[in-house]
Amino acid sequence: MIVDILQYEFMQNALLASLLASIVCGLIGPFIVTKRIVSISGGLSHTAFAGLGLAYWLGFNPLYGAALVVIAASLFISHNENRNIDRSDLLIGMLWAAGVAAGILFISLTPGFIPDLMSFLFGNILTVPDSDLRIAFGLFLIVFISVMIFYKGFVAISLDEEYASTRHLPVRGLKTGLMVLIALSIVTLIQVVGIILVIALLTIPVAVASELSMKFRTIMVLSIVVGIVSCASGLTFSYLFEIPSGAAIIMTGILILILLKGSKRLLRFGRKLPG
Amino acid sequence: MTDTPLIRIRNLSFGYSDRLVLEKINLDIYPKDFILLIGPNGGGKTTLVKLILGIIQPREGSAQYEPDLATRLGYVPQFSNFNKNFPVSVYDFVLMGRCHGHNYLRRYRKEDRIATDQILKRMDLYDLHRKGMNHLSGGQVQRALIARALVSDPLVLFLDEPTTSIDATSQINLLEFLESINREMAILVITHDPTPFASTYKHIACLNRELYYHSQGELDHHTLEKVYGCPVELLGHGIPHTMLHRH
Repeated sequence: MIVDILQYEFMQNALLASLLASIVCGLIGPFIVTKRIVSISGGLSHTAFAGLGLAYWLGFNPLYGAALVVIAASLFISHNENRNIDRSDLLIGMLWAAGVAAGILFISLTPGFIPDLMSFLFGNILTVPDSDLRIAFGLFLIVFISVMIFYKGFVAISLDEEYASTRHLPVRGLKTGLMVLIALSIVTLIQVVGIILVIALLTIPVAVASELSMKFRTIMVLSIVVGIVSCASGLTFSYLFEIPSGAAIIMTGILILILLKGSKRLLRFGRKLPG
Repeated sequence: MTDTPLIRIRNLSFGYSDRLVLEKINLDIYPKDFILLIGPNGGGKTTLVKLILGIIQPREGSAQYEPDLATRLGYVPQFSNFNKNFPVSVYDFVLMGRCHGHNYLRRYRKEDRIATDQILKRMDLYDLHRKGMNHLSGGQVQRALIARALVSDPLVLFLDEPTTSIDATSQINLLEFLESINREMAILVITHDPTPFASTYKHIACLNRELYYHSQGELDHHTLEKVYGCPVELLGHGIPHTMLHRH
């Protein structure tokens, strides 16, 4: 059955894309979850919509459009954070809405061809072309190398920003850098599972991994593994039962989380029983 | 106190758009000094320490020290300042005290790990070094915060309200410990309750926007009134108790 699936080129591309996405998720997701900036990531991912729309309207690759707008938005958010304006909640809400609205406007302005909006929202992993795969690979390389180089600094600012500044670490630079990496990851992931499910893929593997370990580094590695497992099995389910791939990947992840939490609870309950 | 000061604070002012929090502060911190920084809430105690450490930038004036001292200023914040949501072991938390602007791009070295092991043993935390920071008691968290500050081998140690969230026994242990490390480094303690330190401190600085500096024994009722704006409890020097004055 697996061999059956793998003989299709689109399936090979889909697996490769999900492998890249899982590694990126595992590297960035733990920072997003521990820094409690899931909602910022949600806002950022929706600004991608504006970039996609803009690219369609002006006629260039949508992935470039998304990258451009999401990175600009991430710089805008860090700029506001650095000025200590604690209105991030408000800002995220507006970015979120404005991103979607601008995207729809741009697409409605595009003459003739109307792209399938659903594919942006819920992903089109089964139709990832080679060109997008190459861009995604480039982004993955940037994220991977940056996290390897700046790991100590990113951990320091996530754990204790104030202490990091007493140690003369470039806190502002690291914060902005991390935000841009989040933006790049989101752009990579949009091709795989779509805007709406990006947040889920950045958080569910981390939630599963946090159930299994309390070490940040281990959580990173486990998140990558969980991401790969959810993607591969989600794709298989989507092929077998002819269901949408993005939704299948996420629901597989959620299922793993529920099974894990459930079995931990059963185990604890079992220990309490007499004898 | 014939040495040259480690840190010279000259005409330091800090404020928000319409309000001065600190006004023309002058203070020298000498090697092996023990300074108590007292004053009412909102008097600018923590702000002054953050200015010295470079967490925030002054409006006017400066805190000057030799460039190589920058890596050797230890800071023990109040509990709530680190991200308790972050999964980190006691060992890694303390090890991070070795991280610095000059070395954060490279991996930790053997000497970093040796220093961490030593300080964990000294702070009685070695048995807990694999535990998560979020599984420690209040007193243990504070020892870990002190260990993180000491692991960088500081010449000046700043502690922000170290006695507020620990019990009486831990407090006595802490005081004895500070007294012993004071032989190696200068210490500045922010506190709203100077009583426990009455027999330990060498200088006292009262801060309420402006700074009044005294040697041990000099502090009088009049100055405290000026700083706090009302008659307050007076320190009994050399006596570990507070003498209450009638209001």
